[in-house]
Amino acid sequence: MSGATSPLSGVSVLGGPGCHGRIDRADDPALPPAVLVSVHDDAPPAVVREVCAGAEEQGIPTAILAPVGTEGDALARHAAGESRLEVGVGLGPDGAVVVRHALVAGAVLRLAGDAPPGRVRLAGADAARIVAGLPLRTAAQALESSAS
Amino acid sequence: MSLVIGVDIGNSTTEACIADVGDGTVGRLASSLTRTTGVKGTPDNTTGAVTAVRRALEAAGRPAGELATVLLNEATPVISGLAMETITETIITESTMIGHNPDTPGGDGLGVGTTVALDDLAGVEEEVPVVVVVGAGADFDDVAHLLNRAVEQGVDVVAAVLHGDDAVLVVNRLTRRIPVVDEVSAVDRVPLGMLAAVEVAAPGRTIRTLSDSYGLASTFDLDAEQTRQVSPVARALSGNRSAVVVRTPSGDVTDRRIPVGTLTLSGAGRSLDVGVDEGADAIMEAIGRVAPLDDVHGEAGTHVGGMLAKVRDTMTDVTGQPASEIRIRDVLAVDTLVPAVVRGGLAGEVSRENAVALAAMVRTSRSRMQAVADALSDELGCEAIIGGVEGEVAVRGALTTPGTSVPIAIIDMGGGSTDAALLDRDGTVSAVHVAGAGELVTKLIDSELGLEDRDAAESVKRHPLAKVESFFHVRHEDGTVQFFSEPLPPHVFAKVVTVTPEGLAAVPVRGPLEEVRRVRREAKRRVFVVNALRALAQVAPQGSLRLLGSVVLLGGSALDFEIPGMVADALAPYGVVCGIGNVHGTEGPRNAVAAGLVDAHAGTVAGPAPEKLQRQAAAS
Repeated sequence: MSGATSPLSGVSVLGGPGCHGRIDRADDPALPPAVLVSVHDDAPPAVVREVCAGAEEQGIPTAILAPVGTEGDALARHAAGESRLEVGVGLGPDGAVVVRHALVAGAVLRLAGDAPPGRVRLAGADAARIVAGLPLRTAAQALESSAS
Repeated sequence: MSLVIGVDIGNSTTEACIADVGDGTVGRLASSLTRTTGVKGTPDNTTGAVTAVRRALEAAGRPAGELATVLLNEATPVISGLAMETITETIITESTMIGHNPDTPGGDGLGVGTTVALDDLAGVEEEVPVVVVVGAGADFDDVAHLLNRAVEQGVDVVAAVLHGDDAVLVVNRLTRRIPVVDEVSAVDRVPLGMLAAVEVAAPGRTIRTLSDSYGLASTFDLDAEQTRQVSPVARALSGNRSAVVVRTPSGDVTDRRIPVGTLTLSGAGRSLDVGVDEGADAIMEAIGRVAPLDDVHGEAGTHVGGMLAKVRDTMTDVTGQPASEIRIRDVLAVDTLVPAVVRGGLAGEVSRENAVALAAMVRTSRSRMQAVADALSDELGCEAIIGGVEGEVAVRGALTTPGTSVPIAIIDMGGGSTDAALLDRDGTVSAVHVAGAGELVTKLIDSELGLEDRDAAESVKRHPLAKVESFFHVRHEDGTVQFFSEPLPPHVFAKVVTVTPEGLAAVPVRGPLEEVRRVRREAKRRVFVVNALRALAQVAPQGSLRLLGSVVLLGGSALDFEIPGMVADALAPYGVVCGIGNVHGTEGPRNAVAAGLVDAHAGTVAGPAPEKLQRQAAAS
């Protein structure tokens, strides 16, 4: 929904209408608050698409942030730190997904690189749900994987 | 001086109070608490009683050899049962209605057209309004592309129904904005080629057309008789943010009452049949008409009939009395609403159905405490005597609460039954037991919230609620905010939780905190407040609560964070002083019977009981 009103829509359609596209600087005042997705250059495009779609379905905008780091967790940490919504998603080279909140020391949830698209979509939705203040749908599974 | 221990075997807990008893003096040393083993008043209680005694000795730091006397209450078995009958049912025939609330429907407004599968869109004539039905596995980009292409080709796409959770994604990619309902799990059963209406309300709103009988009539061009028929559909959809209604030739939503048998109540020399489906009020009113109740029978093959039979059977097993001699002396019926999956629904729709919950209680005079006393005596090598009737002893214990005086009434709120007793000025004690207590509250909470998890329901009953508002703070149900310096775990994030001593526990509900709180308080009110008034009215002089001086609340539920306040509020209009028991000024609402046994024992040594009790109460 936010895609149509985004001042940056049309910059890049990588993440679809709910995504503000690829940005280099998160502190750009023209960029509305967004969940930042930091994507490793080798991350599969399908994973990026699903994460952004998950957030878009929840009505929360995303933007793709240039990668700083080499694996999912570091990317997510950087993205969360840069995001004005304090939520970042890191997509590692193997397609692993890490969702982080800037103020929370541990990862909120993690998915391995081989997670099915449905789970990746849910992870994107959960990143948005942190912003929206809604219960997370993969929280239980995230607990398992972070414990292991 | 001799070492005496009072043991109170209750329905769920066994309590012990140890004291040095001299010539009319009682020096209390310690108390203990353990789970009751077996049904109260049966030889199985021995194990629990021994544990309680050992723990009390340990707490007092006295060897078992010094123990002179164990005092037991004259406990009679009380068996209670619970059953619930759902008395209404919503059935959708021929798949006419999808009324569910996906988290994220797409678009808004109302679209009315003929249902057509996504794959058949190419063959649709121009300018004919269509509602597109999209099956499982379709990708949102493909769906949006196909819909856009159809619109370009002149097809009048007015709405869509999706299997997956991607309504917003599809709508965001459409050139023409239409209402889209998603997460319809049985989308393949949506009849095609039928007139259908899809309505999605803007965020924060509820649908207006499909949830209204005349709205449906206008949408589907219905006459007065047809409108009458579809009015249950409208009712079932009200309050939803989105809905789909398909008009099929013989489709129907029925709202039917399920016959669940009758209860046969006998008492006051007559017998009365009441249908369980008439609801709790009718049942309680019928019970009032045959008061005092002698016995209750249920119809075989119904939940209630089965429960009553089981209560009888258990009592037979416990006491050896033939089932024909066992009488059910009290029944509490409570109306409740139970979320139930709608039969024939296409999206796992849930409707709130009426149900009646019933608690029944049976009691016998045939106690087997002597067997427990003998076993205890053997085990501990000391004298074990049965000292006094429960109600009487509990009142004595309650009288040691600072600020109490005779006449005094107690309400003991346990797990299976609620007991009341009154000690009058002339020293007479009258006692009554009524069905329905903590277990029924748990059951009501469990079913009304649709938890299907007894432990979660128990947690909701016992602990206050809070809403986790961020990773670092919660808002308690009274509005207080509490900050945490360590982040809260993701599985409780944004959830309604119970605040337990072990931490926050997520309540598996989708509804808001206020709803959970309302259900919890209503369940407690309908069981404990209703029962407190009902039981007290039976022991009060001339049945008038105004003539009760003071009421002391005892038992585990008196430790609850809100039940005592609710009962006190309900009694306040009668001018009754009501509060939580504080046995001997230190023990709280627990241990009244155990302490009462010891006091009574000391009292028998020293002289007549009631006056002495009053002196004790005044002195403590």
